[in-house]
Amino acid sequence: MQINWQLVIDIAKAVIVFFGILTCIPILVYAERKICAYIQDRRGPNRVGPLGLLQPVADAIKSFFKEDYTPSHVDKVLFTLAPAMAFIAPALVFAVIPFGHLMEIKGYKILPQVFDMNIGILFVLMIASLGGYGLILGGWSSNNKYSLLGGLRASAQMLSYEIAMGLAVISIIMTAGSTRMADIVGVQTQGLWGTCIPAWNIITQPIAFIVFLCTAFAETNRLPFDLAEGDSELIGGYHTEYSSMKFAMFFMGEYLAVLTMSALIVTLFLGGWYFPGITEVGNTSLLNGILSIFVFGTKVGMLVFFFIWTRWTLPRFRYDQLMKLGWKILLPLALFNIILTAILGLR
Amino acid sequence: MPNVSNNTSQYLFNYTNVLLFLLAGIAFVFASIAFSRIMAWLLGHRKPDPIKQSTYECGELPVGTSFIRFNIRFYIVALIFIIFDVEVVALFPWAIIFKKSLALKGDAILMFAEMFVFVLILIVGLIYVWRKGDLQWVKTLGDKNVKDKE
Amino acid sequence: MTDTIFMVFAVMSIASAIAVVTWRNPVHCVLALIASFAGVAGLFYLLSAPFIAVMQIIIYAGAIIVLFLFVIMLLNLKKNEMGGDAPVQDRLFTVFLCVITVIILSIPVVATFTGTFYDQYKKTFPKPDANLGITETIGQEIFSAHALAFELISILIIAALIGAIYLAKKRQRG
Repeated sequence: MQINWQLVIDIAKAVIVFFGILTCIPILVYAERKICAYIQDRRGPNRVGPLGLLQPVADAIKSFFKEDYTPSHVDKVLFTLAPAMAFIAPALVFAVIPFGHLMEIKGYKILPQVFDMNIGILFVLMIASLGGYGLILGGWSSNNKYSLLGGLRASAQMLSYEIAMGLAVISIIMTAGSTRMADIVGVQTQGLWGTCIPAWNIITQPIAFIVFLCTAFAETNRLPFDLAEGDSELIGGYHTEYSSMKFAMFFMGEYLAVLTMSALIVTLFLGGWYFPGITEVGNTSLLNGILSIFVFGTKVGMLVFFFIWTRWTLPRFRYDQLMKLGWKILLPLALFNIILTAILGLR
Repeated sequence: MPNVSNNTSQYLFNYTNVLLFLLAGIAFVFASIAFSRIMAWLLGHRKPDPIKQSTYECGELPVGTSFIRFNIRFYIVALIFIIFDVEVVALFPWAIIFKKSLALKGDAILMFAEMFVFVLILIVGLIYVWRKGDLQWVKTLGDKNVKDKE
Repeated sequence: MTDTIFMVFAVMSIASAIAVVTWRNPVHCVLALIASFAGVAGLFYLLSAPFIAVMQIIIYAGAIIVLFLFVIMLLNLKKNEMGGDAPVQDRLFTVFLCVITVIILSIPVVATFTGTFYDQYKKTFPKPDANLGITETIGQEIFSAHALAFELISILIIAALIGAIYLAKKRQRG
């Protein structure tokens, strides 16, 4: 029997990418705790291992061995299903993100992207529209009024910001003329006005970038949009009743969402794996491929830092302010941006 | 059965790819939840008692039932959301072909006009809900005496 | 391979559709409905109509189901308020109606794929164009041949918006 190596490569890629993003989570958790500590003039984790580097390992062990009690009053099926959904949804988004340039080794093509989908960006929006279910079902199944309120808030918030996010994405599709992620990155690798400044969408579509950034924060339920958790009023929001690994799933899902949202912003607005002078378009050598993955990783890292920085700088919104921002500011702004983009295109 | 189009076969490898990705996710989630349950059962202590099993409300005894009547605004937000979601979705095909239509000036202007009219009508809808105060979270429901803080 | 995937999606959508009508807990039913929609979306994707597949998820599973969930949670029926089982003769009658419906619906399906009509179909219709379902084609069709219908959609949407909001708030106003 002949082995189809291309197929083996593709399958291996899916598994490696999944466990790759899984490994990023403890790094993110450590980064968050360390950065927040320095922002608050503390030292952060520094007891477990050198510089506290083994803290995530200790956290993982703790969440595995904690008493996993299911309160007697919960809906047991949904209670287990909800954290799973909250974890899997953001992970799936990563499947369509191109995180490097195509490599060709001995005739085998290695594309650093799990699935080069024709409708890549629509797939992302599709997953985003399902993203809220984990939280609302977690809140409902907990049979706790605070959890229910947290879940409801999360889902109403995600709904409100999904519209603006979709509209921001439409203006990106307009500039790329395609929904394929690779095409969206491709447009951004061209020079702007005949210079070496790349035509990144952050330069050509600044309004869409601002709108998308705000909605990205809202969709990940991070401060200043963390009303779903709102510890000061809702105890812990949708995960009040959760403990041990099921809680860890919500927790990891949140960091995974930060990671994939950063990766998405990099792909849509910051040129993806492209950086002028470092990566070349059309060069399928191994070196170029690795450099492009490195460039992508660096950009994502900077955005993740921005996410953390914001979280520990801004206070939480009030719910009416949240709704006002979503419906009365971001939505008209995004609509205006579409019309503006169309007029500028016609010119 | 009629031929279900041949070009799915070219998707196939990638298709298995994304399914594999999904399966890896599902397997990971449930394996780790199961593992933690087994570990907690083997090594951890389990001391359920009625107080611990009851609803957590900051250590106080739970007040009332868990199912509260929540604000109807959540429902109205979901209603408005569906309407605008359909709008966003209807604009996707337009956005994709707009760039190609730019090659022909007359075509592009027609395309722009079609989108503009569509969006304009929906902006009227937005203005309607805005004026009616349905985008306002803190809103007077029937009671005219309470002025909005906003 | 495609056939296997087709079977998986088909069984998934039918099984969860049955779950929707048989399960007692409304929130579980809603979840099963999402699974059903996901199965249908998979079928659309197999038919190389990815745009419709995405639409199915974004609008039905992502938007309308949330509304269902909100309604269920607003009503928040307790177990005892949901009513007990229906009397036996009612349930038998329901089963009877279901069987009749399935038979009636399957007649055209079976007739289409067997007999002379199918032969005719195979002769007259060539293989479907591979580009038929992709988003570009849909866009070109909508904005050239069906431009007026597209504009009318927006009027329909706005009418739905105003009507829905009016009905939702009718009670409170009075």
